[in-house]
Amino acid sequence: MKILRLDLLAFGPFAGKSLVLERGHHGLHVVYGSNEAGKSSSLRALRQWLYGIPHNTNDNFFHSHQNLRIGGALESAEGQQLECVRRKGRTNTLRGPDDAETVDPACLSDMLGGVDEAMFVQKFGIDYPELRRGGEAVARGAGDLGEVLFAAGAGIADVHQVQSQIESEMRQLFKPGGSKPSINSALRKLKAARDETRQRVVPTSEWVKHEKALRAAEQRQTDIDEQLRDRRATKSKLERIDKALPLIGRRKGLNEQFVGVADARLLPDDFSRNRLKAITEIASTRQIEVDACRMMEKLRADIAKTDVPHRLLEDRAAITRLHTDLGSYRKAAKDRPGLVARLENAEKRAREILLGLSCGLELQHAEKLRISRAQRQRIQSLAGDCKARLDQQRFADQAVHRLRDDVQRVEREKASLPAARGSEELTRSIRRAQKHGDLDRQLSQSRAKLDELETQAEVDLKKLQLWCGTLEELEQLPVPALETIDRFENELADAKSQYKTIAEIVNEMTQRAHQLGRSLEKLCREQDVPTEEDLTQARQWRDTAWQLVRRTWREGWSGDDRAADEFVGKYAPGGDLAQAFQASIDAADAIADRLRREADRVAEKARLTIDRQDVQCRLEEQKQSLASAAEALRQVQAQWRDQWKAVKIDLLSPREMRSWLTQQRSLAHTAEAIRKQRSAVEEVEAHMQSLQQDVYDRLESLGEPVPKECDTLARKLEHCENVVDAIKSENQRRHECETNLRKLCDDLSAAVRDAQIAKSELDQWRIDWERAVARLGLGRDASPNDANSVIESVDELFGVVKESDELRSRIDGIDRDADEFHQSVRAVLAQVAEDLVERPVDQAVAAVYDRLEAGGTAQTKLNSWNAHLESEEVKRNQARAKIAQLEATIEAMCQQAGCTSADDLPVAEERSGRRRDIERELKTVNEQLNHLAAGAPLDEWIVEAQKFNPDTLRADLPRLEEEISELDRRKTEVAEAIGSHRNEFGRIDGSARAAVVHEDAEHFLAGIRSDAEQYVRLRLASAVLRRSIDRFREASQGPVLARAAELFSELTLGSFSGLRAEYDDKDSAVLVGVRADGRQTVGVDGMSAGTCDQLYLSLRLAFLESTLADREPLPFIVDDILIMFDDDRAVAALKALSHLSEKTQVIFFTHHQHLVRLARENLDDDVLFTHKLCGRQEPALHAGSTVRSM
Amino acid sequence: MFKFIHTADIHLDSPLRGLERYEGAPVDEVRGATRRALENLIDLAGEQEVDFVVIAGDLYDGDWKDHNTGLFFVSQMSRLREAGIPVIVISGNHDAANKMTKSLPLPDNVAWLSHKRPQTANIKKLHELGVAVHGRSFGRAAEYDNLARDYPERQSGLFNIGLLHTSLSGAEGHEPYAPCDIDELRRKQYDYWALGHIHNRYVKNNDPPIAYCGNIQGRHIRETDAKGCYVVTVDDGGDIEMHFHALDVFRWGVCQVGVGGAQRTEDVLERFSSELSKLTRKHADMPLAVRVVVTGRSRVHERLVANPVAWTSDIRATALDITNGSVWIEKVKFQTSPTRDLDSATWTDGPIGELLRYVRELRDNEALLLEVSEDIGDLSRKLPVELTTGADALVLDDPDRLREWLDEVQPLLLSRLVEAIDR
Repeated sequence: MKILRLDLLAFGPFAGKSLVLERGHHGLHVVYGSNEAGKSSSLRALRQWLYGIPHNTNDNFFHSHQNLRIGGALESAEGQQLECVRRKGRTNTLRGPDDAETVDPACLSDMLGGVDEAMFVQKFGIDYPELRRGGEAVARGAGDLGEVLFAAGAGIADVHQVQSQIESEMRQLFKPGGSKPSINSALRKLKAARDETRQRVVPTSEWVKHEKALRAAEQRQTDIDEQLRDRRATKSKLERIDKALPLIGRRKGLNEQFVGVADARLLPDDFSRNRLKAITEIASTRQIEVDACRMMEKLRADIAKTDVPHRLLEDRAAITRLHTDLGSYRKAAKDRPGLVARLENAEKRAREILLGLSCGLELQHAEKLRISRAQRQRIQSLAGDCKARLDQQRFADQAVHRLRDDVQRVEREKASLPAARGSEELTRSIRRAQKHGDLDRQLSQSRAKLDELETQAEVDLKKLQLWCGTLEELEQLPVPALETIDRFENELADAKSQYKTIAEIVNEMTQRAHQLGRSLEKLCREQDVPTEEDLTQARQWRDTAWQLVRRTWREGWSGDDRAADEFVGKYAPGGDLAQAFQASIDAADAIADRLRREADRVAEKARLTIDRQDVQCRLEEQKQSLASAAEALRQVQAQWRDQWKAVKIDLLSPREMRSWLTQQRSLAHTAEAIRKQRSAVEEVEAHMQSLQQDVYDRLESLGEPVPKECDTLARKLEHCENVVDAIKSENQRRHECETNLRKLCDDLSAAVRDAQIAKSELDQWRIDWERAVARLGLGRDASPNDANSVIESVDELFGVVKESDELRSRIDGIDRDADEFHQSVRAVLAQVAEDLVERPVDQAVAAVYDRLEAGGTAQTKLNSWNAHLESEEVKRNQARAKIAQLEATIEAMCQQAGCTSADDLPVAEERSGRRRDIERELKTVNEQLNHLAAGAPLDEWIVEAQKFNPDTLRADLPRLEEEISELDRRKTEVAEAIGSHRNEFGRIDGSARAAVVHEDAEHFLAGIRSDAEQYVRLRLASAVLRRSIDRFREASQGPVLARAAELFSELTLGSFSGLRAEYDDKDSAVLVGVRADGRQTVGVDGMSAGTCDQLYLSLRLAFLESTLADREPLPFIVDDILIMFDDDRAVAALKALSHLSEKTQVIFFTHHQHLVRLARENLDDDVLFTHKLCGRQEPALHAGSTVRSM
Repeated sequence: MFKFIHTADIHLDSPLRGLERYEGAPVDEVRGATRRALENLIDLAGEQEVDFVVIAGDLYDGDWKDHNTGLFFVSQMSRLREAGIPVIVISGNHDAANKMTKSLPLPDNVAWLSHKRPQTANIKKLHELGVAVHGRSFGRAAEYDNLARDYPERQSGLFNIGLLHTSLSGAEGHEPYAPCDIDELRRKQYDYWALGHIHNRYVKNNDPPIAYCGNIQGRHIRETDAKGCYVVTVDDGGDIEMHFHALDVFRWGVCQVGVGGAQRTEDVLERFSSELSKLTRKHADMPLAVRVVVTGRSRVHERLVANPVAWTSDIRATALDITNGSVWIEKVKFQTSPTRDLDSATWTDGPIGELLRYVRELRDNEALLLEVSEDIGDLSRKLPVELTTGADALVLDDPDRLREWLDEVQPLLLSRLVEAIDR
């Protein structure tokens, strides 16, 4: 399948743009766009056109979601074409070219050969991050062949990481000998819970055991209780009998005593006491009777002697009242002269006041001067208002004056303020400037950074050896790439090493040849060594001799045979042929014998000879190789120098030049940084200048001077802010003045009104005042004090008049009372004491009162004696009656005791007492015995008790005591045992302790189950992945690896000749690179990061090619993977991609112009097609041509 | 009129199974669940003022030996005694296997019917009510005889209740103990058959009622929804009304979360929240153990299967948030499928194709499968016997089981590998 056209109708920054990709067979389409040109957007658009726009796309910043559209045209391998438009949505997102009719997604899917999005991205796309991950994964996996192939084959980049992750999760779950992983830990907890459950579970057997033990102990307790009861009963009985025996004896004695008094009459307990009491009372009552009679006689005599004035006593009330009134009479008589004096003084004072008032009135007419309460209050009220009215008018006048002054002052101040000005424009300019932040600091920082960079560059430049030009020249030097230096370092090292190796071999061989020569010489020098040639020659001679002999024998000796002569001459000079023949046979035999005898030496010589020839031969070859290695080294060195020709510096070794180049690059970077920094400084300065100008323009328009002394923008702005503040302050002041003035004028008119009101109120008061004081006889000019003084005098006058009236009335009262008292006294005296009538009143009253007192005393005494007489008479009569009663009592007692006279009574009482005592004691004894008998009939019990011998009984009791205490002890023991069993029993209380731990164990089990299942899943996953990797390796390593090796060689510019699988120490297949010489191999750990990337890319392309053979090819989308390749390797990679484009369309997106240049310079026009994406910053200018083919 | 409770399968102190602990799980709510359910039963008897209680077997777990469990049962029976409620019990297979049954000092309101022969409970209160309860205990755990056959004839004029621990003519997942069939029970002409043994509540016959009341507390994910007992009211005319009353304190449920068409992984948690809220509302916010089953064809499938452990944690955290910790997520099962078919022709070549072929080969070749999973033996040997035996035994080298895991391994691997691509 081929993409003919990609229409960016409305997507990301694009609107109605097209990318035409139809040229070429498939073509390598390089799409170039600088940063922000929309390269990433177009990449995304391509993918989303084919597979749909995701729900949460961010490419809606220009076009709303519903307007997003991507379209284009596709052509299948069979030439079938499809044009469609993709919109965003959930259903029917694919439409025809008219963007109306829906297109069946299956058509597109068919065009794509059923490849889904994930696979399209994975297999038919590669970007720089994937390349880098792939390279890193190759290095991290130490070139594990399986993993590398699997990763590159699937486009996964990091299968090793997936594998490690699974294994790590597995280890967190379980390790055979571990304790921390969750399963191991849960197993441990489970065991602990199981153990605890076992400890806590109470088996039924244990409960039964405790139950049985408890029941047995309770039974024992019952038995002991029974025995104890028995022993205690016996003991109790014996103790009772022991106590009863003495009582039984006593009972018998009492019964015998009772016989003697059995006939005595039982008298009451108080009989004797009553008898004695009666006798004593008779005696004492008789004495009372005698005393009463004597007292009665004495009282009668006293009564007869006493005299009482009855007439006087009858008037007791009148006399007593006179005596009481006498006091008042005497006091009034004493007070009267004082009152008369006070009356005279008062009248005198009144007259003086009248005189003072100078009204010409007599005292008796003073009433005319009286003022009513209303008049008085009116005058006092007006007097009180006087000051207030006067003050009111004064204050009102003052306020008017003060306000007039204030108005003038404020008007003056307002006149002195300058004209109004607006500061808003200036404020806005200041704000605009401030919005850009601390530009001074930015500028100084930028400048400091620029200085720093320049200083750094200067220092670095000085440090840089071999160079004495400027920084700019240095930056522009056409230096070779680091990779090139790497290559030359390797190549030089290889060439040198090659030369050195061959030279060493040549040297070694030369020595070897010499050594062999010497050995051969030595061997021959020691003794001539026969050779096979010698033997052959001797035998030839011998055979020749034999021919001669045979010929001679057959034909006869000719005598002139030259051959024979020569032969004879050689073997038997002077002899004949026979001798010579014999000698030749001997000679040949001798050589043969020696050859046999000296076989070692012969062989040694032969070997040495052959070796020397061989060494000589190889030495010649090596010398030729040495010459060619030297030539190769020279060539490499020449190429190395060529690389630097343009630089014109003294060339050093690649290693040193690499260091130099690094420094040079660093300096070049610094130079770039300086440029950027300088432009940044200039930008800030220009910006500040424009802001400053703006502010200054505003200042001038306000008429303010431009500050000269301010060096920084901030200070300038500060100055401007001060100006703004000053203007604002003036305006504020003016506003305040106007406000004040308005207020003061208002206040002034109010004050003038107040002053008029005050004046009219004062006038009214004056009229009222004149009218009020006229009653006092005062004029309108009288002051309130004058009025008050007149009122006070009038008040005093009426006070004095009132006092003199009262005094006069009291004197008249005294005189009237005295007359009445005299008449009362005379009337009483005429009744009760005429003898006193002539005496002065007060004396007469005192005397008659004394007589009344004496008469009262006598009357009282007489009454008392009469009462006493009556009571003594009652006492005497009572005594007589009591005596008679007591005597009757004694008589009755005699009858009760069966006595004839009272004198016999004591004897009867004594017998009765004895009978009573015996009976009482018998009763006590019987009660005690009854108690001891404990309910048994007494007589029977006594009979039974008397059967016991007291001595035996006393002996039995301690024995019983011991038995009881022994039983008590056993009872305590059993009770303790019961307590202990009950305790044990109580601990088995139906609690859920065991069940709770059992539940915990279930939780652990559940955890282990889920962890174990996950562990099995992971374990299987790990095994499946591992084996799949191995199987994939086995299946694919042959042809794919061979193709990858070729690509790797190309991409590394022949630094490697290929790739090979080797086996490491653990017998695992690993991938190694083969050096150019075809012998030396390099593991991935020995490859640079870049080489690892190239290795991954080789494998990736090899797999892609292998896939393309079997299926509908899809375009291969490459996203800027060459950014870290040097130019040479980038060219190699581009060539590899152009090679791939013979099989499928390749679309290469890049940000890098130099890659476009490299492609153009190195690839054929019928394969390479370049396209440029224009930035969105100029959409309006380039509408319709933003994306154009070049 | 009288009222009684029909209950069975109390399995006192039997632990709740399959609950893996995690931070925030309602551990305290699970504690002693069977005991609290039994307490609820006793409370219910008091509230409903029932006249008697019948228990159709399996008070305990057969292999649980803590006598405290029995004593707890006794203490609860004593509460019924104080309320004047008699209890008629028969042993089930679990009780017959448990020694505790014989040694317990039962209060005198409990009549435990004989295992030697069918018996009619002799209780004064039942005589007064005109009720005859017939039953027979299991004498051994594995009772394969038909016990119902010898049950006494109906006592005429009385309300006859048959108390039987049975699996009738067989039930899935239950041993065929005391087999008999419905017709046989009907022929006895009893008025009510109170059955035990099957833990799901089920009325097998309406007239007369032949009913399983189920157990009183669900103990694992196969015992879902409300568990409790029947309160049976019989009026003077002999008409019967059965009311189910839930007694459980912790309930089991399954939360099906359909994620079909979900675009984002967040959708999964949102849909789960919604489904879980429905479930908790349905069970009136009582503590739940929930199995979450995620199903549907969705773009998020790969994310889910790539790391089921992490997703399980996320689901648990979400449940914790929305239920304030009253739900215990027992397990999360991911039964989703991808929107793209990884098995399709697209992937036949290359490494992924090789992997898919290999998995297929493993699935078909048992010997190869066992060889690949050989290393699992390390773990297999360490697993506790409780996990490797029983109904849902975890047998790590069982080829069928391995094939199931293999079915999960394939998407797990592919999603991780494809996720590496999608990055």
